[in-house]
Amino acid sequence: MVELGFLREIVFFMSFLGIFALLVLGLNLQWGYTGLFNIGVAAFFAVGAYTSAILITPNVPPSDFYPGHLGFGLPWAVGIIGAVLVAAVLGFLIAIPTVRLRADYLAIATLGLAEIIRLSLIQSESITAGTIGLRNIPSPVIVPGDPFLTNVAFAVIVVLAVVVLYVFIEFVGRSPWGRVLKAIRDDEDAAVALGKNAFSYKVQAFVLGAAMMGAAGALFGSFLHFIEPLTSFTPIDTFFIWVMVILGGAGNNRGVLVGAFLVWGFQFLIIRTPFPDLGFVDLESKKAFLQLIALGLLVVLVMLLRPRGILGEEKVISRGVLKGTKRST
Amino acid sequence: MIHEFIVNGIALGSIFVLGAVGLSLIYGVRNFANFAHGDILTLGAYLAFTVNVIFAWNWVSVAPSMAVATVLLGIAAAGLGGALGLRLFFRARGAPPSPRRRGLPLLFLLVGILALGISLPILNLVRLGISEVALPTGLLLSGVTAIIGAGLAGVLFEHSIFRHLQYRGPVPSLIASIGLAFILQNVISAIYGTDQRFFSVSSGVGLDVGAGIVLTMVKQYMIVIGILLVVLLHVVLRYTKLGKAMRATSDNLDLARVTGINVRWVIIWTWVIGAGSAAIGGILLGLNAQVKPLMGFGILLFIFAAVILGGIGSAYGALLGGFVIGITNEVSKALLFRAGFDTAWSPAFPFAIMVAMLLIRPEGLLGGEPLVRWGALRASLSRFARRIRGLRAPSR
Amino acid sequence: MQPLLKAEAIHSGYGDVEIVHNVSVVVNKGELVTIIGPNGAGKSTLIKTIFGLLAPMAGRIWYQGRDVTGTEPDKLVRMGLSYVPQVDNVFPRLTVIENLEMGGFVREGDLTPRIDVVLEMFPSLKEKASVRSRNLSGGEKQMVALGKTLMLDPEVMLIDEPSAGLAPNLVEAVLEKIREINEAGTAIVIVEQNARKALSMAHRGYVLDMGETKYEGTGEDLLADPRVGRMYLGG
Repeated sequence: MVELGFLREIVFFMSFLGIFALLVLGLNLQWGYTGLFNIGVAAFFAVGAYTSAILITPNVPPSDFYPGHLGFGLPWAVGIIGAVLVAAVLGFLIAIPTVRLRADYLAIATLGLAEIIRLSLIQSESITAGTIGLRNIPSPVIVPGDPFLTNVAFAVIVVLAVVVLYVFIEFVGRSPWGRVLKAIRDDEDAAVALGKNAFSYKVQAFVLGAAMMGAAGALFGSFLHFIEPLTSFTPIDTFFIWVMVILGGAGNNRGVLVGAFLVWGFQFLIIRTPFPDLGFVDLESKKAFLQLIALGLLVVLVMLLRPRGILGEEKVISRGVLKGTKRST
Repeated sequence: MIHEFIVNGIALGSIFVLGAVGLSLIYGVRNFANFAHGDILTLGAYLAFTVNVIFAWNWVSVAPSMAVATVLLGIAAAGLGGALGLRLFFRARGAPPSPRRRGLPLLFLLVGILALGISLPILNLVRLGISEVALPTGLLLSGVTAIIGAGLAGVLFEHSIFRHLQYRGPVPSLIASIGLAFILQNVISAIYGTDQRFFSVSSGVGLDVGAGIVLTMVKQYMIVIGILLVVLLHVVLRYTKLGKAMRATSDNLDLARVTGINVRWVIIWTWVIGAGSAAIGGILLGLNAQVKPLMGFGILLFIFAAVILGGIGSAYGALLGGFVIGITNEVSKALLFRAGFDTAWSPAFPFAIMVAMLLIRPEGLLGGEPLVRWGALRASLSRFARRIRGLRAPSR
Repeated sequence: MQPLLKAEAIHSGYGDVEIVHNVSVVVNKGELVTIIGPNGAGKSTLIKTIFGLLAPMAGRIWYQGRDVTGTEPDKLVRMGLSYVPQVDNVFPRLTVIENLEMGGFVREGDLTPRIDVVLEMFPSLKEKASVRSRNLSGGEKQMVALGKTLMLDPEVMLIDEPSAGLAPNLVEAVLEKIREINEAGTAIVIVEQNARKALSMAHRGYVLDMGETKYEGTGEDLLADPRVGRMYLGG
């Protein structure tokens, strides 16, 4: 029985790790490869989660106790495909006007747009059930009568999705397309001078990243069976993903996966470690804050001491090629 | 009804202005978007709250004569500050005194203005002939504590983090500021908990300003202190050597350096002034609603909206932007209400303005090239006039 | 006589790319020295190195007999050495007067008399005293940049391509103004693309190419030198 408890924890851990992995791979494509400073990650995550949830959950009419929400009760696969498509379209709509912006402006703009989207989810009560939350989102595979095996199936699907996307991104990253992205990030003027349409490449990277975040959202909803926009999909979630990418090293897919593992592992352990009551202060009740303080400190320290993250970026040939072209005397 | 929303907008706008001026100056001088600026507001509010709790400055009831005396004292303090400030003004065209002596008159001026700001609404009570007047003696103490505390914190952040990142472009500093924001929010949460807290202030007596609008005591504070601090900032930026050097450094840090401006000194004071005014903004925000750990982060986007609307690095732009965003937010509530929508949608308007501004004119209304070139307009008008005259003139 | 400013065997560049190789420059009191050469010759790099904006990879810089290699620009300003960058050399959101005040930042005492002196030298700025400098014309901006630097009455001014981006008729006026400043006693080092004009007003000149000194001599000699004329003055 102890064994099963342990296994349950592993399955839980892996499921979440997989969802985080999709998010960091998506962000890595945008930030690590292309230098697009998107701090609206939560928005694409949320849109994916809600799209999938609405597609696969049956319609619930409003009642005295529940505001109700829109729902179509379609098969699970339709949900995740819908989530990817809607997140990609949203990414496209946001990318078209914003990817030309300077990094810091892009950051502010994406944060602003993400908050507008979250506000819309809160306010559109008849569609999303508002702050009460959208409930009973189905799992992809249901093993009748065995919630544990249902969760195992979910974890397997998530891990498979991560593996497939990792291979895909690695392949794409090493392709000429990926090298152009990095060239644009390092020196956009030089890339343009070499005849690359930087704008188009940036939009493509942004949309692809957003689609991956949308997929992560769909899985998130199916895993928890419940989503709500007040405490989820906030800037804090975006911050988590960023910590993972920064820690692991932007531009390095393996690095960001390690970052996701470390940050989520840290959080997972903190949740399960009882903190002492020191008498004057009960640390257990402060745990959540202490953990976020630690992550904040980590970000600051990484920026100060190891700005390229723990693993740093893999050397790619394109980097040297463009060096020195912009300098003038 | 719309007036009321405008008045509320001005009150809210003064908070945004106090936040935006600091954010904009730091953005200009240090060349990064400080995502921890909202949490500096929170820090100020909690510092003031702590003093409020420790000293339990429930209002002291005094006779009107005492109230008048306090008002006079406030004006005297402001006058003293003002006189010292004027000295600074004249100094501005002359010698740079050592940086150490420079802060003192500024502090006096700040205290004086706060005293004045707190005193003015009291005059209203005296006018109404209320025999027992409650004096918020602790508000002054809280305010000063918050300004100094937040100012020191700003210097600490600069010294321990941002100074080391300054040659690495805007992104590492921005990321570090996000980390710092989370540290501040959670340190505050860990110490004070996440419950909403309230300043212990009696509600006071409203001021009827006509048009059916009665300003609560807190709104009076917000508007009076907000406007006075804006005037102070104007004086500092326009007439003191420090203010000019701040604007110069914000315009072009490298040029400031080769001109011989003591850039480190300017940066330190920019943090002090930016964080100090944010702290006052935090107190006003806390007085207006409640004190909670995410209060500052919650209005960060509004402050960014104000900064971007006005133009990054432009203090006057921040002023304009703050009021415009404040009024937009409140007036959009009125419009939403009339149109039958939930007023909770109102933040979408300032955010949309911000995003639109970033896309259309990222340098802001008052940044970059002027929107209207009066000189060129005049010139083309006179050219036009000449041409018309030329047409009328008999041909040779 | 000891030279006022001397840059000795300077090697300099950006990162690990060396752009200036073993260049020496001497400036005597009251002299107008010009550094000419084609684009990318290392002229701006050299002048930035002298002013402490770039650390030399090798070589020393002497000012008034003191070794000032590696001294921060703001200290050099206090010592009487000043620098006018090629572009963005005024504070755009500050008025003309405020720009001048910032130019006199390190000066002790009342600035008003000096501002009056400087405005006297640039009469065209007088009526624009309270105009923000971003609203000025290119020529006027260049005048503000020069005036701002003159606030400290420097011993030496390093001026990086003052004619860059100016209309031809303004180039004349700006260079004339620089000559006036020099005649009033300030030593000047001027980097110019406009080589012929610069040499004709300079006491001495250096011709830089590929980061090396190709020729040096008096302005007249260099102008008369057929090799210089063919290679660097356009025939």
